[in-house]
Amino acid sequence: MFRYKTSALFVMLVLLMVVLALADLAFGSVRIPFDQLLAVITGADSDQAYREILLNYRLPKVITAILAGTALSVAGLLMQTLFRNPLAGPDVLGINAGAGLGVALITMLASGTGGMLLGMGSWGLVAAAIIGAAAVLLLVLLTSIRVPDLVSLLIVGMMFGYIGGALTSVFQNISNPDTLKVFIVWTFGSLSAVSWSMMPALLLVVGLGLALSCLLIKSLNVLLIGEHYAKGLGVSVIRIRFLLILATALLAGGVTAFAGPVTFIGVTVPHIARGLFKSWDHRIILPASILCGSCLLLLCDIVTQLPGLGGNTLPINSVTALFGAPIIIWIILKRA
Amino acid sequence: MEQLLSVKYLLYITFLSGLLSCTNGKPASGRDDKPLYSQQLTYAKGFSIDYFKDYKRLIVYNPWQSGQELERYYLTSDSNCQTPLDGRRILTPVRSIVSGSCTHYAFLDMLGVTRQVTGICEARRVYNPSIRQGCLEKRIADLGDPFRMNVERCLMLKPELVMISGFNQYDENAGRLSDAGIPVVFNNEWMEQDLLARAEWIRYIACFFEKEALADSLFRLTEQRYRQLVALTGKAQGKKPLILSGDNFRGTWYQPGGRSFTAQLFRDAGGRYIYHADTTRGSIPLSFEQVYKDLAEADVWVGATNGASLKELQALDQRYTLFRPFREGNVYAYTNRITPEGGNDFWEGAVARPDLLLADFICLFHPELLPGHEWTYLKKLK
Repeated sequence: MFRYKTSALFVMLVLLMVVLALADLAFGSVRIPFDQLLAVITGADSDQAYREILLNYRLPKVITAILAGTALSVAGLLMQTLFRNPLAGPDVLGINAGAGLGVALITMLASGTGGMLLGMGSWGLVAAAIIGAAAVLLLVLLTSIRVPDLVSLLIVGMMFGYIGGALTSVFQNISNPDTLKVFIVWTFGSLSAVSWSMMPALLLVVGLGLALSCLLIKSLNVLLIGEHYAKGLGVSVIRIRFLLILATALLAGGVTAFAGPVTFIGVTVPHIARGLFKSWDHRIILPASILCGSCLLLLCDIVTQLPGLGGNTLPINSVTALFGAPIIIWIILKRA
Repeated sequence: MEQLLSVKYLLYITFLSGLLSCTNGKPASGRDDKPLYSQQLTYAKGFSIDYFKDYKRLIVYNPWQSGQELERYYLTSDSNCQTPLDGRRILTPVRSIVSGSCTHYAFLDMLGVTRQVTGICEARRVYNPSIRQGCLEKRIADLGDPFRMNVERCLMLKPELVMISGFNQYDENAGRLSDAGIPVVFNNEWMEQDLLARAEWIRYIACFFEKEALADSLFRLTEQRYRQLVALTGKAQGKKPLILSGDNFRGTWYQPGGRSFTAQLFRDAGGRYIYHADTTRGSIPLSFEQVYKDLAEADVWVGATNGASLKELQALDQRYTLFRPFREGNVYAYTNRITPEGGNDFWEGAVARPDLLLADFICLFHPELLPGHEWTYLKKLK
């Protein structure tokens, strides 16, 4: 009975994801007639502009939403299990702050050379974010080997985050409004920032992180019963911790580098998955988080395009928080 | 409506096929040819215009790396003409344009081409009356925030040209539009060092509409008026007034840097600005106490931004009363021409007409030089 219910839920989530993905393709700030939509999908003769919007604008965005939703949710799940803290998320290690600092550096400080970053084009911001995230990751990994207990690691991660944030503020204070706006827009996050040329790279990073996470499923289940017991079972806790941090960095750092910061998905989705499937087993919760995360981010992306916003779309980062925060409040109230 | 759409579509296809025919043909060499004629620019450093037999070449330089080219465009009115392959080919005159910055409006208006504008950013903040009218009549689409332009809507407009400001960053949206076959050109007038240089970009915009002669006479007129006004300040009798500028925000007072447009106006209009030696182009963040120590006894305060009246300013911060210009009611803001929605001609018209702006400042610092002057951009706060 239990297994049947779980499989049914999985099937429903997959269907929901497909429906949401199609809806995200179909709806946007430009209304595309249904016959044109079909024509583009089937490859029949269609308007050039519609084809451009659908294939080169909306389709990569949908794929990015799925990848980002997947990566952030799994990263959040890993961190919540590692720290045994329901409010942990992909950003607790300060990796996002590191990415932000990298972007702040080239958008605001390097006014002479940074911007176009030696002709790197759209890769400039991505490269800066990756370098920033990797620098913080390295520090956290070194700390994780040196510091035996988890709470200290959590605090150190948060401190890295604060340092990154503080330096970013310093740059903001001394920079001009135009560069400031470039940076602020980056902090909004954008699923449409990933073009086809970048997609393989994003896919690779997220794929690696995801593969690593799947290899760690058993270890994650062992961690659930406590580090001391895990040690007793002969599991190398330090090694697992190292790999978990690496996987999280690939997943969360990769998405942040390409799409900018997208908050709350990582913290909320594991809770939604656990609530839906009534389970703590990572063999169920990990794939469930992938599906829930993709669905939630697709839904959020549809919301950003709601009509009646004039020419504007809402920043994805605000929409996820507007969705995510009430869910966290609900979880806390339910437990009280 | 249907018919109109299909006509537009047809035009678009012709345009595209023109592009293809050119790229399929034998590439013409671009760099070795000598131009027949090059437009001499008096002030602007951000672009150059060269005329060849069948086309003109526009080069936009990278304002952040001196001497480096940002992009080059080849403008031709002949759809069969082959242009060099090292730059974007643009068919002129452009019949529809999307403008990504409010600083273009006044130029477009002076050239008489606002009817060709089909999309802009932040439509509710427009001051320019004819662009505003176009927005109200829905002739001009609103594409949202210029930093996050609505790409889908812009693609649907199928503009023949998208003109945007460069921001020392790769512009993702510009890349997308470009990939979709829509020519995106950069207009970096805001990075010029000099007010007249900024105004000279009218020559650049005019090229796309084949209105260079008009641009030339308009710019010469602006330049002449500006020079005459500067010469006029030589006759000023009284001492140069000491200027307090910018405004205080939570304890930090931002004053225009010594190399900013505002500082140039202070200098050209015969004012005394203590940060003239400063080399910042943006604004300089200063502590409230520093500003109080240096400028509490200034003669005039220009560019107050936080309040629309003296009362509002005082309600925000009682300490404003410590400053002499505030006590004596000599506080001015750039808000003489505004719309209720927040459009301000200071950001639009003043870019193209620095002479009007200068006249305001001269009247403020040396009223005897311009008797009967009516304010264009400056407004005295009450």
